[in-house]
Amino acid sequence: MMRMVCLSSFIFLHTLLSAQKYDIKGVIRDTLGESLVAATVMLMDKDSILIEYTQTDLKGAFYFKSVRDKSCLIKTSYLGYFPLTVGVEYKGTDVVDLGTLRMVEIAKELMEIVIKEAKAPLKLRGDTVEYDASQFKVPQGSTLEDLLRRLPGLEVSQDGSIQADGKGVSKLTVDGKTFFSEDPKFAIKNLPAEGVSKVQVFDKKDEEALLTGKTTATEEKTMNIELKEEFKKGGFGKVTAGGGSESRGELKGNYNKFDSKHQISLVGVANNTGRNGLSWDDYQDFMGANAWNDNDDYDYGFGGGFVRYFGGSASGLESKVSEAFWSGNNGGFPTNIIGGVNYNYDHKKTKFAGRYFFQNTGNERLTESDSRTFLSGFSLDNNRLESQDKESVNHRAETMYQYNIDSLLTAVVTADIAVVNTDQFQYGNTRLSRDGQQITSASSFDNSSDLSGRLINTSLLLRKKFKKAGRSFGINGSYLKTDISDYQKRFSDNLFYNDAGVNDSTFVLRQFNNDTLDKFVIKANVLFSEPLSKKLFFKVFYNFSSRNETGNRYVDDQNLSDNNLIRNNALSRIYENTILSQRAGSTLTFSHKGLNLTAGAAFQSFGLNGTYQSPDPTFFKGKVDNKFNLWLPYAEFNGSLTRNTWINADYGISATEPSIENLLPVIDYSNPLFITQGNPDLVPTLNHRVGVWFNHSWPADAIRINLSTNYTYFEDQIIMKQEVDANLVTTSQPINYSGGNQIWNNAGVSFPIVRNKIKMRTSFGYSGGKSFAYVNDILNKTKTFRWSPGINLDFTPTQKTAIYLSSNMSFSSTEYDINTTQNQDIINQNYNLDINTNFAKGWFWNSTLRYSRFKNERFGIEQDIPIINLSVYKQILKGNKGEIRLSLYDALNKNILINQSTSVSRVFDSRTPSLARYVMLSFSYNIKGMKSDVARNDHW
Amino acid sequence: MIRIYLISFIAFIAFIVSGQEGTITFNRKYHWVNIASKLPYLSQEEKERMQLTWGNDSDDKGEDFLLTFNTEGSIYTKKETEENYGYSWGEEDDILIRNHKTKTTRDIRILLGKKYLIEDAIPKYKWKMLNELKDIAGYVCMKAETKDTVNNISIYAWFTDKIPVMSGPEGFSGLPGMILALDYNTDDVNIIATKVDFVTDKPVVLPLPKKIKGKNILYEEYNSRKKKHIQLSMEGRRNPFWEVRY
Repeated sequence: MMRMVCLSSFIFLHTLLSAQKYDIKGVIRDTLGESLVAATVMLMDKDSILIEYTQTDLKGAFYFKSVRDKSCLIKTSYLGYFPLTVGVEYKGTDVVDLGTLRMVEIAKELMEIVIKEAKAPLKLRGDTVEYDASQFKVPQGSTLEDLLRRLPGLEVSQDGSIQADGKGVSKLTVDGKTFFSEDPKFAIKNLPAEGVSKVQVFDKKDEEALLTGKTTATEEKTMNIELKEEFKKGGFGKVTAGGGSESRGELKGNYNKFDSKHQISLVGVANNTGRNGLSWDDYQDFMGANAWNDNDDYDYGFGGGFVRYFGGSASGLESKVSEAFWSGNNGGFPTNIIGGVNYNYDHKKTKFAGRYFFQNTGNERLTESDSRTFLSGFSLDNNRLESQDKESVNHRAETMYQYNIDSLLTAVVTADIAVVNTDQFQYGNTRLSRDGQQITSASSFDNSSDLSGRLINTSLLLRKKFKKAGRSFGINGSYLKTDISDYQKRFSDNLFYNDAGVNDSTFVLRQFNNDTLDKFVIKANVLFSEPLSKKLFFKVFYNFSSRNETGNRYVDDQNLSDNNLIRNNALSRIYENTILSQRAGSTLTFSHKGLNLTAGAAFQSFGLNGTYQSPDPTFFKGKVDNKFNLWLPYAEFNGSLTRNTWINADYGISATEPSIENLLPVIDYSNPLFITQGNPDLVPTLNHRVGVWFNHSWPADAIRINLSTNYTYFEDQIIMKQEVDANLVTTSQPINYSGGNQIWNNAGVSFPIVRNKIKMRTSFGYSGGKSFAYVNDILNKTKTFRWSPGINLDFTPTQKTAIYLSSNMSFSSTEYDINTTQNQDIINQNYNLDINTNFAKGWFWNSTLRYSRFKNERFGIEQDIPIINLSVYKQILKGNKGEIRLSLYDALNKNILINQSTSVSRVFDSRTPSLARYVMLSFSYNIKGMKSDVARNDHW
Repeated sequence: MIRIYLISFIAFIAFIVSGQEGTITFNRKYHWVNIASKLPYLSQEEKERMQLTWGNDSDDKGEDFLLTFNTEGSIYTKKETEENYGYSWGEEDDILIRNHKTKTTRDIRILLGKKYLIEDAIPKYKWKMLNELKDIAGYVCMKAETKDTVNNISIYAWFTDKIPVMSGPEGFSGLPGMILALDYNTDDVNIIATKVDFVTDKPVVLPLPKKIKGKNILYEEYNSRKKKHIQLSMEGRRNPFWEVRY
């Protein structure tokens, strides 16, 4: 305990002194002999630990009473003087008199320029100093010489020789090491000032001084330059190459380099395994500081908002580079070639990011699918076998430039371009039958498509804050333009059978389609927010979005006898449409003590305009000109009810406008078995959604629970009205219908069974919904339920072994009210076991077992797919930088992709055989060393 | 002898009287990347990845804290800011109330979702004096170091004898003057005084909270609970500092 020695002195004055205790006294003066009054004097033990302190009196004297330590240090401090440290040794006398201690004044320029002006910490070594050179401003591109000229106490002459405190600097080191030449003149002209962190000047110790430790006054000095930490650049990278059986191979590499301003990264992948593609980590390594700074969502609004990207893009044209890193499993036999380069710059007011990405992906797959459609009194089965070969080549470039005009105003400009080419070939056959028994038609098809598209997307955003906290203004606009052309071949031979199962007619289709689609989307958003009081917050926003599409499809039939092409005007079409959406709204938020309540409303209007016609308008011609106006309410509550409890509840209505295709009063005969017809009377669907989310944790015990529920009621949902005639030709038309709904509930709990050894997570989901369709004027109600429990157990018994056990299941049932005999029960079960172990020095074992079970009693499906992957690897090279790995994938040769689904009046099941068993031997090299941990990191 | 002490005492009092009551605003900047990239269970690549992605936190302006001190004692609280207008996170922070006369604490500390009231002696720190000078908020400060045995890190304090009040941010004290900056483990957390205001015309009243409530506990127990959580989290490969104040 430290106390003011002035007080303690009184207390201890009359206490008995034991033999070891002694007093210390002294007087502090400056070099001219003047007493230093009220200087701080600290008594420290021999390790510089503060014991007590006092201040000098009017005569500059100080006194410490009852000191116990046999040897201690006295340190004095006085503004503008070098702190002075002297050693004190107890020699048996009651009082150790240090006599007069003289403090040396710090050069005025050091005090004023270094400490006060540059605010640079001054490190004191006896009476020499070191200071943080980074605080001294020199123009960009300056050399060390320019910097030294600015440092107080240093003089640099014309020829580059340096004088410190009047002594010549004869030696210069960088980070303690000699920099090419010991001659300071060479170094100071060649080192950039930007990279210098510290400048130190020492007395040059001669050999004798180094040996004896004695420093003698020398006439020469040594200068040491310390470089900035960030100037020592960071970077990491990894490369993996492997070859295996079944002609499988993989190559993957990434590298990045960064300092405080620049980040550059490269990524490349080539494989035909569909594995070891791009991961989450690769995404982060590639994007660097921009990984979570997508600048993508400029749609202001309520909590969620207006974000409804128009139309989507089946061509993949409108996707972002980031999406390449989250590709799913499509089964089949994939090949991938990917390459990318990214550059980020971030310095002071400017941020820039630019990247280029190339992707060449291919997949060959053979899919067998069955679907059953329920009609009144009977069902229609479709068995299909399809072979698909798809290849696409994408080039994509994205740039972002951000500039902080001042501390309150920021501008962001983005520009993206992309080029996509996709070739696809499909051939196979389908078979339609009535009730699964009586064949009605069989066809074989051979289709192809050659699609190419281009995209340009630019945006500008301005964000303005004001001096008044909480007031802000944002405005942005974007322009997106795409053009797509798709040349398609549609060949099929169709055989029709009568009730007796005899082929009574044949239809041969030889068709070529030429599609073009030009689209442009203009968006603009404005937001202004204003605090009304400390607790009340007002926000107003406006969104504008206009999408224009112009396109045409020319269908040519190939004459079977002479192969000449004849325009099919019944199927060809020319169209143009514009969807204009505007929304204006405002919200009021009440925030207090962790609770936030928001209420608001918006007015939304849709304008849908379109024309649609055959190249020969006598075939068909239609026009749409609809306008809809809607009021959309919104309410949200969230906050922490108690410590560690978080709740969020919201209600809102969102509107989905009907598509122009659905509104067009035109009959589409392009598929003779499935005719569609628009409905000009359609109105937008209103989605009434209410959701609650709750989360609580007990951090000391590492227990977490979460509960959530979401309910949506569909008003004026767009459903299909179907008529199936005696020849099984279906005519369908969209209509509005209210009453559909969807519910989704989820609960989860995570807790340790044995802290840090066994952790358990369980989750339980329930979802359900009601949907409708009219089939031959009968309303078909379909109810679906899905229960999905899941459990995970993580065992980490030792540092060297980790075992992960998990299971998740889903029980889905679908009930059809017009055809209860077709009710479906689909059960999917998944069991996973992962074992990772470091079984010997540098040797690792990794195994995964995935056991999936698919069951659908109605379809008589019961399929078990066990997938076992095993790998053993050894870390090699210094710092574990290398790794040799032998892997066996799908040891049981069972890999197949299964898809099952049910909808209003249809059930679907497909099987796609996929790349199965193969062995691979691979080598990896990681600049920073391979990961030698067996456990997963779920958090940093 | 006594005369010398009296004179020095009077001189001392005369000197310090001008700067004894007032407020100091501190900015606390928490560099979570620097903390996370020292976690023992992460690989070098993972640490560099974190630096690459989140290393530049210059956009983070930190949080302001206020130390109010008078002749009786001091209180250190999070400063109410207008920055979070429009959204209230409702996070409670520690409130450190110190009585300099009785040398006791009435600290309110939040640890793992529980609120504690610590009525104990003011914690003692072993300060090692270092040889550096720096200007902070217009005061030339000296550097001292102490070891934090809970987090197992070094904490560097910059103090000035020109404000002879034995106090400082985050409950640190015991140096010959006010602590104006703290550097936890050099760059994990940096706390620096941005504004020093002395009040001379009227007595400073400590802004005590209306309710000083919490589970009663002593510093020894509080520190051992905090230390236990940090150890358990490290073993369980989780960053403990998401849940406890660093």
